[in-house]
Amino acid sequence: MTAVRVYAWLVASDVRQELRRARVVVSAPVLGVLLVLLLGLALGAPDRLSADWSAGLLWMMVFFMNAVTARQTHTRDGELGARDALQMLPVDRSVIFYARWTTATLFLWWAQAVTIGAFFLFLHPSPPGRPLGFIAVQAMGGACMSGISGLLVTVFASSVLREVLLPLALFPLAVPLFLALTRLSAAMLAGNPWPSVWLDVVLGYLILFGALPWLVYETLLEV
Amino acid sequence: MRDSLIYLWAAVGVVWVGTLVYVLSLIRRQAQVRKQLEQLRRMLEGRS
Amino acid sequence: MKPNILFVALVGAWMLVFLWCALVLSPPEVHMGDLVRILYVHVNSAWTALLAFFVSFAASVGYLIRRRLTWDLAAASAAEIGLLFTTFTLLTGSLWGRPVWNTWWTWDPRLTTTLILWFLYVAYLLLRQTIDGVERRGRVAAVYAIVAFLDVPIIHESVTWWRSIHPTVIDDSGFHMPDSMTWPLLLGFVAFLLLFCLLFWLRFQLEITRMEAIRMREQIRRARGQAAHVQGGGR
Repeated sequence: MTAVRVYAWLVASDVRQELRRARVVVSAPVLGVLLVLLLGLALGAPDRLSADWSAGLLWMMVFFMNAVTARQTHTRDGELGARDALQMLPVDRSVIFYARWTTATLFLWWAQAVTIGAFFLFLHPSPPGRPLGFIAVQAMGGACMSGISGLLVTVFASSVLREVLLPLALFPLAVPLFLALTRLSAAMLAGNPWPSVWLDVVLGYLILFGALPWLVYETLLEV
Repeated sequence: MRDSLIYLWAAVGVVWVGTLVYVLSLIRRQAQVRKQLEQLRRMLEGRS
Repeated sequence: MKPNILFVALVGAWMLVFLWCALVLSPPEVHMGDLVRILYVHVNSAWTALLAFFVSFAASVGYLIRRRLTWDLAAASAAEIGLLFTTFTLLTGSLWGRPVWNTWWTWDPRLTTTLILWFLYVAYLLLRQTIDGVERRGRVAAVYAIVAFLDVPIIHESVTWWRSIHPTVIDDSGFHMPDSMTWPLLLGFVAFLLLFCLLFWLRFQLEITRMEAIRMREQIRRARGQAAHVQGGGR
C-alpha cells in the first residue's frame, strides 16, 4: 500500500464516518452561528460593522470553533478503538497526520462557510470589496488553524488536562497567524491590495506546520 | 519625582522578594522529597 | 541540600555590587529621572528569561537526540526559572509603564510577545505535570518546548509589524545609552546570569531527588509484586 493510497483511504473513511455520525459537521457550524448571535447581542444589534471589526470578530469565532471541535477525530478514534490499528499501517506515520489534517480542514471550511453566512446575515458588515481574495484568506486560515490544532491535539493527547491545554497553547502559538488573518481579511473586506507581509506569515505557517508533523509526529506516537 | 520612586522600589522589590520566595519554595520542596526518600529507604531496608 | 557556599557567596556579593551600581552609582536619566533604574532589573530579567528558555529548548533537542533523562530534567528546570523571570519582566515593565506611559499595559510588541511567551510556558509546565510516565512526558514536553521556542521569533516579528512604541536601547548597531548606564546594565547581566545558574542548580537537584524517589518507589512496588508472586506460588 503506497502512502498516497493510505492517505486517500484515510480521508475517504474519515469523511464517511463523520457524515454517518454527523458530529463535527453539525456541532461546529451550530457553535459558530451561536457565537454570531451572542456577538450580535453583546454589540447591541449593530447596524453596520467596520472592516477591521468584522475581520477580528470573524477570526475570533473561527478560533473558538476550531479549539472546541479539534479533538473530535481523536476522541472518535479512541471510542472506535482505531488508534492501534492506525499505528500498524505499513506507511510513515505522518501520513496519518496529513490525512487527519485534510479532513479537519474540510470540516472547518464547512463550518466557516455557515458561520460567515450567519455573520453577514445578522451583523451586517459591508460586503467584501475583493470576494475571491476574502474566500482565499478564509481557506488558507482554515487550513493553517486545523494544522496547528491537529498537531497540538497529538502533543496533549496523553495529558489529563488536554481540554484546557489545547486552547491555552493554541492561542499563543497562533497569535502571528491570527494577526495575519485579521489584517488580510480586513484588507479584502475593504477592497485594499494584498498586504504582502501578512501573506508571508500565513504561508510561513503553512510551511512550518506542514513540515513539523513529518519531523516529529512519529516521535509523539512512540509508546 | 518622589512618587515615581514608589514604582522603582516596587519593581526592585518584586524581583528580590520573588526570587527569595522561589528559593524558599525550592528548599521546602527539596526537604519534602528528601523526607519521602528517607521513608522509602527505610521501607526498602526493612524488606531486605 | 548542600549548595556550594562559595558560589552562593559569590552570587550574593555580585548582587550587592550590582544593586549599589544600579540604585546609587548610576546617574538618573534626564527625562525619566530615577525611574530609569527599573531598566536594570527589567532588561536583565527579560534576558535571563530568554536565556532560560533557550536552555530549555537546547535541552529538549538534546533529550530527543540522546533520550537521557537528565536532559529532560534540565529542560523542565530551565523552563520553570524562565517563567519566573518572564513574570518579573512583565511586572517590572508594567511598573515602569505606569509613570512613563501613563498606563499599566499597552499593546507594545515586546510586552505582548512576553505575555504570549508566559502563556506558552505555563502550558508547558502544566503539560509536564499532567502526563503519566517519565519517558512519555519527556518526549511530549520536548516536542512542545521546541515548537514553542521556534515560534517566539515569529510572534515577535508579527507583533512588531502590528505596532511598536517600546524604547530600543540595544539593537544591531550597539547600546543606545551613555557608558554610565551601560556598565550597571552589563554588571546586572552577569549578576542575573549567576543567579540563574544558582537557581537552575537548586531546581535541577530537586528534580534529581524526585527521580530518585520515583525509582525507589518503583523498586518497592517490584519487591512487593515478587513477594506476592512467591506467596501465590507457595499456595
